[in-house]
Amino acid sequence: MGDSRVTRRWVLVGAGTAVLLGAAAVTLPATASADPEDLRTRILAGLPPHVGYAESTGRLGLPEIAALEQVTALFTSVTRLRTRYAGPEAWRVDELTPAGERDTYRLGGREYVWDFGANQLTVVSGETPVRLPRAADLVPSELARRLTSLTRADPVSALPARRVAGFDAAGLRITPADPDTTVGRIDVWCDPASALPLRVEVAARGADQALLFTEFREVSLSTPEITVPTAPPGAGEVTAEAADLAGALRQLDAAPPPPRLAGRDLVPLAGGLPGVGVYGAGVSGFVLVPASRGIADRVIDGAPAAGGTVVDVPVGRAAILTTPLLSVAARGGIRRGGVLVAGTVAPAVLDQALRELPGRRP
Amino acid sequence: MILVELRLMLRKRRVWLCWLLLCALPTLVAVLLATTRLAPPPGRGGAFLSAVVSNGQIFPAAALALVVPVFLPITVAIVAGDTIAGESSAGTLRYLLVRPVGRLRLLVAKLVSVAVFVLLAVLFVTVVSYAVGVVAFGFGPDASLGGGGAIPSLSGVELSPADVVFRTATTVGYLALCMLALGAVGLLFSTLTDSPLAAALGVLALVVASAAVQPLDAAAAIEPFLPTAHWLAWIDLFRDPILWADVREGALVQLGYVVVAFGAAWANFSTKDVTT
Repeated sequence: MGDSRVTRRWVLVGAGTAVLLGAAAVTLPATASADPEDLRTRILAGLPPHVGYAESTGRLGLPEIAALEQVTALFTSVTRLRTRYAGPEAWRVDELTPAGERDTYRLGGREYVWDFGANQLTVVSGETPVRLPRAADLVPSELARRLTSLTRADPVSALPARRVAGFDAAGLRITPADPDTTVGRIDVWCDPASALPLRVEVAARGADQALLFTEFREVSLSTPEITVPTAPPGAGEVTAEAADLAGALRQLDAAPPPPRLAGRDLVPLAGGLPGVGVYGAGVSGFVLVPASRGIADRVIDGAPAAGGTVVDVPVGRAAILTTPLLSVAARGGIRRGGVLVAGTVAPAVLDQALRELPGRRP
Repeated sequence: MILVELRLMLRKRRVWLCWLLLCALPTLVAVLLATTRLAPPPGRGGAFLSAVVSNGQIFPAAALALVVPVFLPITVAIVAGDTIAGESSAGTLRYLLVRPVGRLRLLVAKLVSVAVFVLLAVLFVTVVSYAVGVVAFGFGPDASLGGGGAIPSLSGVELSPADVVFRTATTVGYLALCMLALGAVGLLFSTLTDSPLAAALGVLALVVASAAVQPLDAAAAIEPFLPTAHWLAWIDLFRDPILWADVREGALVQLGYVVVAFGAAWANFSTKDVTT
């Protein structure tokens, strides 16, 4: 009798636990379907206004690169994002960290960056044709828009639907055709009614698991009001021109980018930055950025410990850091400083680019 | 029964010592920061710590971020591990059960006493650190004469004093729930052993194991259900507007732990042979 009471109580507790776990794990079935080509076209046509909270996970295994820690963290860890998007010129994305947040606003042709940790509001006027990746790029809707625009000509196919943030989302898969790119597939799930991208997965060629995926956990199709932020009392406020970056790069006395590197033509950039070059198109392109000698040397010196390889170049030193999805290379001995080269291309492409770069000015 | 247990808890010296030590750690940090003015660089160190030097009213949030990961769980483990096992090891459990009260009522009373302990612990840390914060760092640049001014949220928007009180009260409630979940596990362990130390160590082992597994990519599927996964979600209460997603999920997970652990404690204790 006593034993049966014991058993009954434990069965009751076990059943209750199972019910709780089941309730947490249950997801509604997803049945949405849409023509993938049509869905891609609608994504490219523009994003609908939305407000949401997303999480992005990067598993690129990229080693920490000196002076670029914030950028590498985007591809190697979880980034929490809150977005309010009213249009291409009126949006706000907050990067939420355990120690504060870094908010980027775009409004009236200006960008505002509020950094709680630094206790500072930065107002940036203008735009540069090339910039470093930032947290706002990892919002599912924005990442999907960027990646689909880079792979317009690549084949697209349908994926099974899945439930994302309460939406019955239709999926599409883009398979980049260029054999030189490391990107094997780009999977996007969208709300079929509004074409709002809700989840994006990027996997390396030949890999089953995505190395970068970002997903809305909550999202609503409402139009947010974006207002100009003001610095709270006691906080600093600085103003910068995006063109200041060109000035900073000019200080490096970088050589003009070669017209052709690793078999790829230099892409003309409006209002170009000194020494900066974009080569090739879509996800099989790469970018060349001048760097100070200190940064280039730190990357080259740290490469062997980070699993990178040293590259023999005619002048100076060079090294390549490779991950299944992203390759990063550095070369010193270019004029007074060095260069960084990065892209979702095979390491062999960057290796060739490093060798083709002209060395120190005689 | 509940009042008896509460009175018993409040008479224990170790309970007051736990509260004292919990308040002492943030006080020590405030003294160090105030004397050196060396706050952690932006983005480093505990949450809010880099900002407290310019506004002492933020210090309660920084203090909670300091005590939540380790010190608060240790005190909860000590108090919860002692609930049943302490009576057992002291030889008073048999006499307790002789009284005409059911074992379930005794367990409920013990859980309530743990709940009151964690609530008061979080409340004491909040109140003491507010006082210490404004003494050490002042009311901030926006302070009105002789009183507290607004506090900037993590998003840069200023929070009114009423808003700060609401958010702080919600934080206290949320953290108390998180610690109550740990307390319920401690209560369960306390019914499994006659040693309060073993029960407390069991709770701490759970915390350490959860914290160790949490960052692993391979544990992504179970990560949301780990007891420590949502402990820092309260920081979202100081964003503008409040981000409720993780707080809501965290509250549900912690409630789940309370229900399951208390259920298991009841299943075990109701038919346990009490010989001491």
